[in-house]
Amino acid sequence: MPLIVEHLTKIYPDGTRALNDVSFRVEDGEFVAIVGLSGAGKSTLLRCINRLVEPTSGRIIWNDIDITAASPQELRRIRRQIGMIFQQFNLVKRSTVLTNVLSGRLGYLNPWLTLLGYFPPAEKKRAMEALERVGLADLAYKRADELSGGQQQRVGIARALMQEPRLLLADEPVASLDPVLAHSILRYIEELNKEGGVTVICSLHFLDLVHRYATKVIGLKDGFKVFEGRPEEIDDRRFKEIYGQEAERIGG
Amino acid sequence: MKGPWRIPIILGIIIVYALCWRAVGIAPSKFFEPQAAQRAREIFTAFVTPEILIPEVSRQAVEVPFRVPCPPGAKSTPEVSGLSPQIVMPVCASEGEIIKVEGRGFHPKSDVILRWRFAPSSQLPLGGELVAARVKANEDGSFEAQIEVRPLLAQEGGASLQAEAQWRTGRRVVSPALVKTAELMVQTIFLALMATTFATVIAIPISFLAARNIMAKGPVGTAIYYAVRWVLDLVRSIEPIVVAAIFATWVGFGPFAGVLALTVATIVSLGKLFSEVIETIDPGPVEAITATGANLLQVIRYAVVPQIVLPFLAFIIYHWDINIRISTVVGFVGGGGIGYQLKLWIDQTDYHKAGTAVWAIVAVVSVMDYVSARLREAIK
Repeated sequence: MPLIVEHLTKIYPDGTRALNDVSFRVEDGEFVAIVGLSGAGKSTLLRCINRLVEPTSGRIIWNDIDITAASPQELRRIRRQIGMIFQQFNLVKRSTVLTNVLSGRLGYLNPWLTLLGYFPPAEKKRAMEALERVGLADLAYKRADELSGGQQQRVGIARALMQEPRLLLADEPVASLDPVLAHSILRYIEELNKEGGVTVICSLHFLDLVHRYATKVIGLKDGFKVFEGRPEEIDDRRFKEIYGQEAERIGG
Repeated sequence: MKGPWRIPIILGIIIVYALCWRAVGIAPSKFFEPQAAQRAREIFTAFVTPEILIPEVSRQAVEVPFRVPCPPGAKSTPEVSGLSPQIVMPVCASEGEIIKVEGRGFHPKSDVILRWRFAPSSQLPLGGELVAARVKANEDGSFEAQIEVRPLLAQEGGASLQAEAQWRTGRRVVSPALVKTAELMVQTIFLALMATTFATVIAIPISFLAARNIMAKGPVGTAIYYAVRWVLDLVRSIEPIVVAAIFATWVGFGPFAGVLALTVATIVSLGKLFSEVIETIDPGPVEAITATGANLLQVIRYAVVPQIVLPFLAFIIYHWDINIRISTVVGFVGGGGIGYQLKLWIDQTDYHKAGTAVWAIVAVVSVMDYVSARLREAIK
């Protein structure tokens, strides 16, 4: 089932127009890269999809359900199927790795039991499996802030895995990491996409990464969609449209 | 500053200070008055020599019933009472008579007090005592005294004569003042702990109401936020010692008044500090947990609580430390604990005992200061 974004506009209370009438369509199983300068509206676009940011107008339809019109309860059911990973990882630093991963499951569990800190053994097993998939099973009982940046982002991926997501939103997942770690993180995301059939929408800074992983690119500039197409269609002219005349291409 | 106003302003300031000087009665000469210097020496000497160990005193006593006047048939002749020590004296006499009392077998060179003791009666419902003479036993432990038979001895309850000898053993024992100080120090620590506990329980919900990032999301929330902040600032301007004085009149002098006063002060302080912790949490985890489909309570439990629990704990420990310090002051106005006892000893001019209390406060406060700093370091 596709994700359809129609005439999405977001104006913040201070008057900033973060998104202007953005429309596009994402088919199941695609790996969409969102590119653009800092402040182009990439983060706002991703956060509108799971309504961490409330859109000002426009509609977002996924699986024939209008996310923008969902009640708070429906919204939580939708959110639990949408995984999200972040540039700053957004782990709870003072909690253990295992607790961080388990918290990805909160939307599926009895809220009262989870408030007491109780997770069923089956969920703990699922969390350990998720940690094994990202190669961190032996760090399960460490505090999250004892891990390196790359390890923290893998915990973020394990947390998203717990949701058994059908859609994964990734907000600059490798921008805070050493470039050599970027591929290791993106390969986990690619594996989810190719083998798990999870649709991925990922904002990225570097075009070589876009060429390597994405099946589709959406270019944003000042909140407007300035490009939609396949990665290989981005030539020098289109590059300057997205990044401005001053920009120089580096890498791929 | 320039222009014609300079001279008048300087003059004005001088006048204000001159008035202040007179109003508060500043008199440096008072330091050097002869009596003041004498008192100061007394107080400081006492404070640097707190009462910790005192000489042990041993006692022995013999008591003989005595009748006034002599019943029919009885004679006012000397009789021996007790084995060792013993006293030799008549067991009855008439009012106004002078009788001879001899003691034998008492501790050599001890101080002996001879006192009349009265049983309770309609005249003396609580009974009573009256010192008849003070003598010193000689080297072989005997003494002799002449005492007058007072009219009061004829009272219906009857009377007896007690001879009590006291002497220093040369050993030293722990002063009762030190024991009292230790007991009250423990009470003070508990008092501070109770106040901190009550205050924490109340301050936690208040702190969420006083946190801008939680409340200032709509007009109602914003109004509550400003109202709570205003009340906190208002109550904070009243010093704990004033609050303690009010509670002492309300619930009576004692540690409970102290607990209440410190609780009020701590609620305000912790409420403000907690709300600042909540305001500075990292919004990232809140966003991440919200995105998993968790409800509001789950978000608070898994994204907010882990971020605030250690800073909260650090502030709680810090306030326990502060409260021990303040409770010594609060005790002065009737808040119980060591402060109240310290005030009593100072009022009774028992400066050695007061010194014991002051040193105990210094010791406990510095230890708590250190412990709380280490604890706060450990839980970072």
